[in-house]
Amino acid sequence: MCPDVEILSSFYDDELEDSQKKVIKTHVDSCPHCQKKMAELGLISSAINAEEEPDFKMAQVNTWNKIMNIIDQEDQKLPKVNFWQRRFQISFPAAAALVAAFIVVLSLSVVSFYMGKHTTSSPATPELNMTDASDALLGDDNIFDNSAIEFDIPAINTFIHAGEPLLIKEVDFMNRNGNK
Amino acid sequence: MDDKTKKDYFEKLYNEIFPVVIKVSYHVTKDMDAAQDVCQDAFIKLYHRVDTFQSVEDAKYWLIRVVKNLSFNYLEHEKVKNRAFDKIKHKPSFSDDTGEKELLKKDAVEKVNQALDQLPENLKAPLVLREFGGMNYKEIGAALGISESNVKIRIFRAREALGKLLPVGEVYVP
Repeated sequence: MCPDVEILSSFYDDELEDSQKKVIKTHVDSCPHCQKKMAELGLISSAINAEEEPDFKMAQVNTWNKIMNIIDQEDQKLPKVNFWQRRFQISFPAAAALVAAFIVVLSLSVVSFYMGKHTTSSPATPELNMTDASDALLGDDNIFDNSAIEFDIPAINTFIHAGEPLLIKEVDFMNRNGNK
Repeated sequence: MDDKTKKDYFEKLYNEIFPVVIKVSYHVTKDMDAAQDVCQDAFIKLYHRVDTFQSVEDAKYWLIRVVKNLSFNYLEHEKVKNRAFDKIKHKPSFSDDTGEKELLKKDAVEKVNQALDQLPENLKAPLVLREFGGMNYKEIGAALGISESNVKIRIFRAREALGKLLPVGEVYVP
């Protein structure tokens, strides 16, 4: 069975391993079909290489002279700069990633700052647990003598059931009933 | 690396790599002036970062990649500009022998160039590096940043495509 043309192409380029090369060579030597394929591969290469090439040696010398001129001019133009004065180039994707990261960090900072400020500065909400609040205010070993605590209850019937007055009301209530 | 050492090392690299890259660039651009300009630009880029490469091979493969890209960019630019006269102006010269043989040879070269121009860059680049750069699959893979097996497939496909574009018997081979 004939090898794939892809293998023949590698064989033509001498890119097969020795063991495989031997097998293919033995086959090609005895197979007219593969010999024809090999001839086609050779034909394409020969046609590619049929073109007469220009004088590359001369080009090598000329280009070297031009390069050296440019490098010498650059060396004269550019003063030596230290590390901190160097200009750095950054690719567009890297720059975009940096900007995106900066925006995310900045947004998070602003949000967290705003939320923190809102939480600490907001007044007591109606859902405030009054027992806990009064406990926190008085504590187990509070220095206040129950009898010594005096609060003036506002002389109105409508008491504001929110915020600080509620605290005062509860403290007063506990005091009058002898509860802690 | 001081300036003297840098220049000496650069010269060594230049002498080793230039013969390969000029051929590659010329056979992509089909323009000797353009090929020289491409190589000049690439080597100046190399000079500025010559001390960053760990080996001559690294520098070589990097430079081949740069030359290949610059050459194809040039070709694309020229196609866009549609300046066919440039190609005619820089057509390769032939030896003095005239006659039928010479005409056939000229015709073959033209057909081959036309066929090569029709290949996509991913097939043309490995084939040019193989045929004109004389590089093996491993070197081509390193230069183009692809695997050896990929190089093998691309070269085969390039030849297959050329075989269809240049039927046997229609092209004169010296």
